[in-house]
Amino acid sequence: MNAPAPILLDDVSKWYGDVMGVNGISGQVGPGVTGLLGPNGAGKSTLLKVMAGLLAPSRGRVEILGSDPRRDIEIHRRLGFCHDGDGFYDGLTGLDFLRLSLRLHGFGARPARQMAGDALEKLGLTAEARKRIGAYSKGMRQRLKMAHAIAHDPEIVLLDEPLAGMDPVGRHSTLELVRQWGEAGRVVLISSHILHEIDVLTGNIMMLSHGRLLAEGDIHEVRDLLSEHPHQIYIECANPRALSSRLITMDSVQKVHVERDRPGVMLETFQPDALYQQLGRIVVEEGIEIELMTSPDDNVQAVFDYLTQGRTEEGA
Amino acid sequence: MSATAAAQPLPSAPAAPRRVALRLAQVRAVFGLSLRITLRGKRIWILGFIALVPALLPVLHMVLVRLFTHVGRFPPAMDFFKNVVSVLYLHVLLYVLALACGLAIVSDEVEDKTLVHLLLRPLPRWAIVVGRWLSTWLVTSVVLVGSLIALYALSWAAQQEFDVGRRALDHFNLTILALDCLVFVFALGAYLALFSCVGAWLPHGERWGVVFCFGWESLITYLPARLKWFTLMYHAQTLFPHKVSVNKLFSVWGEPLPKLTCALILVIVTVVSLALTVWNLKRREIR
Repeated sequence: MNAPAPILLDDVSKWYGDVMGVNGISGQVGPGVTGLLGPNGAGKSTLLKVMAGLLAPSRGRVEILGSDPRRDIEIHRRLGFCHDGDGFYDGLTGLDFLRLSLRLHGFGARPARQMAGDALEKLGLTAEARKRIGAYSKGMRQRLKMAHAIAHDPEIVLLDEPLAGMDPVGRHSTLELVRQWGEAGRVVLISSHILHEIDVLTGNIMMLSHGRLLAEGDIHEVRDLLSEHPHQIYIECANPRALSSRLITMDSVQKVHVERDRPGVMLETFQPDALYQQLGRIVVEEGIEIELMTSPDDNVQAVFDYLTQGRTEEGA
Repeated sequence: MSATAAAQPLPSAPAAPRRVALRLAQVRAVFGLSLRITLRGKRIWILGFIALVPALLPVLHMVLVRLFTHVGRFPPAMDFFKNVVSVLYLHVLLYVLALACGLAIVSDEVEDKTLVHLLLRPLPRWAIVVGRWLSTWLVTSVVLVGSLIALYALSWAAQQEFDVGRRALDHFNLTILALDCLVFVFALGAYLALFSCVGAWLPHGERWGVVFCFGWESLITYLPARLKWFTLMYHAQTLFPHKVSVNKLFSVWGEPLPKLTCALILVIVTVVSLALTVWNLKRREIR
């Protein structure tokens, strides 16, 4: 029998009066990094807060490591949450804030200080550890929140828009850190409305829009399921016209277009697997040297656009 | 930024069997955090300054007597002390401290959006409330008791200035001062607990608090029958080792309740108020 997933959502809904936060979300999140994607107002923060026990679901059930996070406070020993708020005890230093937070777990003075120092080092805040939080920049406050979320070494880390307010260097190093947490076996759920940020981090996604779950799972598998949208493939080579004349005769190809501003061909197909097989034969027969082959719509943004476009049309 | 240590094991959390010790350590941690935040905030220092004002009344009185009368006269220090205590400390300063700090026990954390940091820790909600209430109680008690001691010392010094010799020393009664301080601290604990509950449950808790202190508690003592039992002030006043003004004036409405009963009622109000505050925190959602 398979072990239950660390995070389990069963028909989770949350309303704020008449306003819907999330509606009927079911799914599970396992080890590694999972991206929680959707535009602003999609319900990402609400869902994460329900998972962290800060909000009670109006309907449905959340289980974190088999426990209800709203009832079992001990789950916070194994769960870290970087939330979207910006409230801090501004009079404290970053080190004191983390150290005192760890004392709240019941850790002794010495381990709390060591763990706080380690967490600040991981987030690149050692130099600012003894500065008052009130003097921190937005990016530094964001990193301090992340340090707060991971200081107690949790198995599950929920990150709500952790890159907001960070400079490009900070973004890069934070993404690298998140990737390493995922590789180390932690369950990391990271939300963002900037889809390409998550695209470089993980292929495993949960997509939300208007409080509903649009898609869940591997991005490429989700893309393959969108059968009404042909796959776009771009092939760059020295002789795009010769290649396009062969491609147009193939049954698996719907449309071929020679690019004007670059030496390549853009094609659309409903049968990418068959196309890749036939393409190999053509390349050998024609002696065409392919320099680059990409799928411009096999990414998070394209999938999200397709999914939301479908919903918009349904709505209309 | 280094991420290489992400998978390194950190010291593990304390084991569950040591739960009582753990909970006490957590209350102490909340107490320490809250104390630090309170002492670094402006509010308590402003209140400390306000609390000094009634303590300086003997000096003001002395200066006025010197300036405007030919024959210097200062009332007995103990009488002066008791009057100022029953008028300004009991009916103004106690309320001001309890309102300003009691309401903030939960509502400050909510308004500053810092409550989330506490709720994301494996802390029982009661530990949050008790830890914050204890630290607020300690700080406000230090302010109040400090002011009372200053008032007492200055009253005595003022009388000494006019009434040199043994008569002033005869009035020097540290037991009264100590008992007054104890009653104030005890009553302050009950008021703080009550207002923490008001601040947690009611929006604009300060308005309700002002209505309670300067409306209900003040007016009800002028009404007959036992309505005054439904004030904290009545029970606090009963505990004083000396008569305070309102008691003296309204003792016609019947014999006061026994001191032990009044003390018990204050304890019950404290416990129930704190329990209601904990309940609010358990239900609270952070959007």
